[in-house]
Amino acid sequence: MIRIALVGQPNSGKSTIFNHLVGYRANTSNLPGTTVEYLKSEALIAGKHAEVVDLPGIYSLTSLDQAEAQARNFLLDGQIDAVLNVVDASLLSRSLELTLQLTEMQIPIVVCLNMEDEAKRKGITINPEKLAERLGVPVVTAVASRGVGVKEAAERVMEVAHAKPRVPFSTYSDDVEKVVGELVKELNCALARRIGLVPRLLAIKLLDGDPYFLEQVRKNSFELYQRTEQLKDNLGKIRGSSAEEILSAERHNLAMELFEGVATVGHATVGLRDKLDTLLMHRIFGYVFFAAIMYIFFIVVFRVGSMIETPVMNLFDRSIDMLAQVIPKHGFAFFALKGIIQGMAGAIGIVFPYLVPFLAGLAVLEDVGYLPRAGYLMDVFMHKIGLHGKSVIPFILGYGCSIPAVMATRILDSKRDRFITAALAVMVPCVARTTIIFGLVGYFLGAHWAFLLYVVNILLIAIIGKVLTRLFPQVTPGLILEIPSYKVPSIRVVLAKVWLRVREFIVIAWPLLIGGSLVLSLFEYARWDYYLNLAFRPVTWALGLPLALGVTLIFGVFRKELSLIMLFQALGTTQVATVLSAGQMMTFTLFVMFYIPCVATIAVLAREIGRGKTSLVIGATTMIALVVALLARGIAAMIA
Amino acid sequence: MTLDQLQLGKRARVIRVHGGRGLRRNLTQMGVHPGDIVYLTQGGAFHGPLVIEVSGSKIALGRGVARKVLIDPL
Repeated sequence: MIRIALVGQPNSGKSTIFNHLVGYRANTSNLPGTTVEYLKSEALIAGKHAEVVDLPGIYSLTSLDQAEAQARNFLLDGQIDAVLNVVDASLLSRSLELTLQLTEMQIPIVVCLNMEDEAKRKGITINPEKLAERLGVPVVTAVASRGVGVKEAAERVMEVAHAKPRVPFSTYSDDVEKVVGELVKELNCALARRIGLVPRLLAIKLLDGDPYFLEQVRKNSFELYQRTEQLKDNLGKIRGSSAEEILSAERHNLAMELFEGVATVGHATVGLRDKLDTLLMHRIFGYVFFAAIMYIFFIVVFRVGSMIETPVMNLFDRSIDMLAQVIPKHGFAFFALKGIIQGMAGAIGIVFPYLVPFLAGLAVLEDVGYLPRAGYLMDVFMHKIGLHGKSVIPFILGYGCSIPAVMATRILDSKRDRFITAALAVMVPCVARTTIIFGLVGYFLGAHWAFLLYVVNILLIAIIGKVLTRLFPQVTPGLILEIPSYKVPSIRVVLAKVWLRVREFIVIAWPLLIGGSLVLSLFEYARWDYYLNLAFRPVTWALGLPLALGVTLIFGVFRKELSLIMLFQALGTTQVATVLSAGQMMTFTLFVMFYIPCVATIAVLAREIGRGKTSLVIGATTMIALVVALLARGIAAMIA
Repeated sequence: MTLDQLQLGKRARVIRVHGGRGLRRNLTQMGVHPGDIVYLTQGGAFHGPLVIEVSGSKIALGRGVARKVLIDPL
């Protein structure tokens, strides 16, 4: 089957195009041996089946960034038949630098000029025919947000994937080309083939100081490695700068020349979107809006969720009551059915009502382009902890799910920042824990108490962050973050994002939930839950919680939302307020908020920060959870 | 003069970027090259990051990064 990769810079509209091509069938996959996630799906293009791969957005193919290096290796692997290079037309000159690097790879390519409307707003008019002629590859135009031109782009890519035309590459200045040529001569073809690159590309990569390929050459022939270094020095001497700077400047010049040859820049129309930032990124009002946006976001999620939770849970409660009248109340069948029904109820009544609006809201904020602005605003506060503004993005994602949050720490440049941010991000209450906060504290004690828990959570994370950055002192590399222009979110993309995660929940977590609920119910039938609870008695005793809650904490390690569902199950009622005091609810929720990340998160953490540090996180979060919950118990006792 | 000293709303030409090759790469791939003209649109509160506009894109830069960008004000 033909395999097509979508490659483009972040915010170029790649995902929108992908979504138009494949609809809701996308699956997430990881790049080989990594946690860098990409989407793939089969699509029917011009009557033929093709696999479409959506790689993560990358600025260049020369970066030292892990995600970019992985994406590059994936492209070089030779399993891609053609590339659709999605370009933000309003940022053409910058984007062309990536396009030039892609043509050097000699994979059949089609350039898709996306967001022509945005370019027009900025006063940029591009002549696509001229660009195609200068680059020597097909160029198509599109406004992906409205679905315009997507089909044509896909059809052109299929054409080049079949025809496999030779891809012309641009040549650098004579003095640079001379050095490149010399190195190509030295690199015998066999070596280049073994490494998997055309000799010219390998030569350029080596001169560019790409650590991965330099190492490959060094392993193969130390003599050749020395010769490479020598040629690099020679190139640097010609212009009185380093080889990589020269190549970067060359690429920039080529891109600028191309841009000036194919585009004209007129007057930009200043619209509402441009003025929006003077408010949303304002030094004072920016923070007011940030707080307001977050507040509205959580209130809406809570309102929508609780509106659905009440009637649905009542319905399931009634069905269990009815069941008790039909079959013997103490029999195996009743316990088995009760467990299954409660597992179903947990997902439909508690998880979905909060998960879906939360994911939708987050997808809208992401699509509009607000997240980087939040990163900009929070940079100052992150510096107070010893991190920088980019770390705020994993934190915000953490309110959705700890797994993407931990993965998103890859956008950070330093290893130490990645570790600290990942360790802190797992303490941010994810949707599963949010269902506990809202479903228990919010529902029975009121939204303000739930809000208080969030405030306590943020304060504690700040304190722990401060401690961690003191323990691992290092100057953090500063913030460099693109602030993309605002976009009207596409309903299609938002729905696709929500569906992708919800489907994951249905496939992976829901069976676990029902299974867990069933097992617990059967434990209850066999009266074994008593022993599990006994094992946890030291914890529940110290926190002043009923014995029956011990078992919920075990299940919470598998999936956090199980804690709440199991709580209903363990207490034998959904009317928790009749069995637990307000203080006990707060203590329980605080403990669950911080203790041990869920199994799936632990697996991702281990891959990202290593096993040793993951064990550290598990131990530390348990200690923190105990201390915080004990404090809450003490305060509750004092108030009472 | 360095970028962090530029007045809000003023333009400048980038002369060069001090610092390691990681920083230089990150800046060039976002479109900040020696010779480019940058425009300072926002200076964050509490000594926070700056926002510059360069060839059509907006980029937030921490003060520490901005201190390493040598400029010639226009």
